[in-house]
Amino acid sequence: MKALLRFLAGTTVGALISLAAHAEPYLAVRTGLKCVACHVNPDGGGLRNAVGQSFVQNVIAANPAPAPLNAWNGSVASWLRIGGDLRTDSTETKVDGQATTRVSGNQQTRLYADLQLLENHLGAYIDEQVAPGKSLRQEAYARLQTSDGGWYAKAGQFYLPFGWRLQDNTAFVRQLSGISMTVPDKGLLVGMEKPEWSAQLAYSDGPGNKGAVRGHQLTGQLIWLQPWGRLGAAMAHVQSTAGNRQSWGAFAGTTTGPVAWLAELDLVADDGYPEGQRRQMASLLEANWLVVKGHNVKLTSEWLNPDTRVSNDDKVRYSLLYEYTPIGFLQLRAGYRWFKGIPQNAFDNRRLGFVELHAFF
Amino acid sequence: MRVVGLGRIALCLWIGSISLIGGCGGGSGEGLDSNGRPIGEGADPGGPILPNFTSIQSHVFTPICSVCHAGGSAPQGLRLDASNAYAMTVGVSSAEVPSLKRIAAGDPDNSYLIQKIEGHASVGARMPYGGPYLDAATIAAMRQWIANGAQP
Repeated sequence: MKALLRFLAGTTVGALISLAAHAEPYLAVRTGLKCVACHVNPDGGGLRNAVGQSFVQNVIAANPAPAPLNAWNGSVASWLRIGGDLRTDSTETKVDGQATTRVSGNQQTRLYADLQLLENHLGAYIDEQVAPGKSLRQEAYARLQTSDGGWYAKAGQFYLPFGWRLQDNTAFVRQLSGISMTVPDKGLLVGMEKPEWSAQLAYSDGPGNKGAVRGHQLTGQLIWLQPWGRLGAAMAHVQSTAGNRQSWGAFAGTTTGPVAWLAELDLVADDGYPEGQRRQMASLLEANWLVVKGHNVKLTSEWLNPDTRVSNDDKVRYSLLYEYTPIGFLQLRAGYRWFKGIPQNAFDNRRLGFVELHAFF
Repeated sequence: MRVVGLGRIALCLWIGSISLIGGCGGGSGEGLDSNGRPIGEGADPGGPILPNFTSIQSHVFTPICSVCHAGGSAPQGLRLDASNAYAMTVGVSSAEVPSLKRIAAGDPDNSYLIQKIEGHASVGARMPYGGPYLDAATIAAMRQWIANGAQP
């Protein structure tokens, strides 16, 4: 208990001096909105726009923020928006036959800025991870768009579009695809935002093509939005001197009463293994129950087949999380994850509990 | 209204099928070694970790690191599956800090991989990403292997 109080006290102080913006796609599904409705980045995630700031304070949070915080909308000048994101957590892991491990600390602190060089036409965006460790540039790109936002292009370093852009970068579907909010890539992306359709196509170096490994990557996705939910399809083709990769994904979201559902199924085929091509599959099913304003319960079921030609090697992961957003600048999360894999590997059968403080502005 | 209802039902069926694909538990492991590969396919020496490459591959790189660091989208281009790990680490410059080798034979303190797993690298998150982190005995074995010259 003392340890928990020390953690909460420490992380609260940390939150006050380092103020989050982070996407959770279930929010878009629950409200029927596109990512671009709340985020500066049309693909979603990162810095929020003025609507997003208002949304988090008035729709997501349990209580209104005290003055003067409630006046914050992210804009420091007509041509400049800023934001930040801090996640600090304490995690306890149990592996049979081994001592329980407990780790606490700053998971990440990020600062965002969006500069309007030519209002509603030309902008520059930066996502800088300032902790832990030395500063690390995650995204930095120039964005050109039509005045109605129906078409846009990004050039520079950015996250690739593939499936649900989950907050949990360790989800099986994100690990398998290799495309998440921890792996930016350099290239050019063209996007389209129409009332019923969203589409992105990117040509980039490929996150796996670094150092002596050369090649390029083509990534694309298409999303169809309807009143009953949305359906999406994604693909990525990696050309690499170390072995090519083909990825396909199908994803969907809908609501049933207070529950927002997300689902994704990915298939990846990799060359460069001694046996030739290795195929892997992963799925995600996520239910988000809005218990009452500011309180969300998340239940996920995941499956991974590390090699479709090998039997009996499947892995699954179940998670139960509770998320409380007292005000539009702060979120407390607690969760438990059960991993199940082959019995001869204790690590694949671990249990993990965590508490997290997420502060954002 | 009817179209909305049918669409929602179709979507629920699709989502339900995904949950069924997932099943309820992990694989039985029958016919597999501790890394989930067919018995006899690869070198899985079993037992405690030892300061040699085969043991480190079997205890660390294959079961833990290659969950992400494998295939055409391996972060930082670093593939740690059994067929690529040695060639992509020993004597190879780090993509994040090119002035450091991922593994500098004979010099564990200046091996970027050691800095990443110990959590004092100058750039980015401690590995394995999201934890749990490697225990002291495992890191000590990896340090010893590097200090001994990081032989294949």
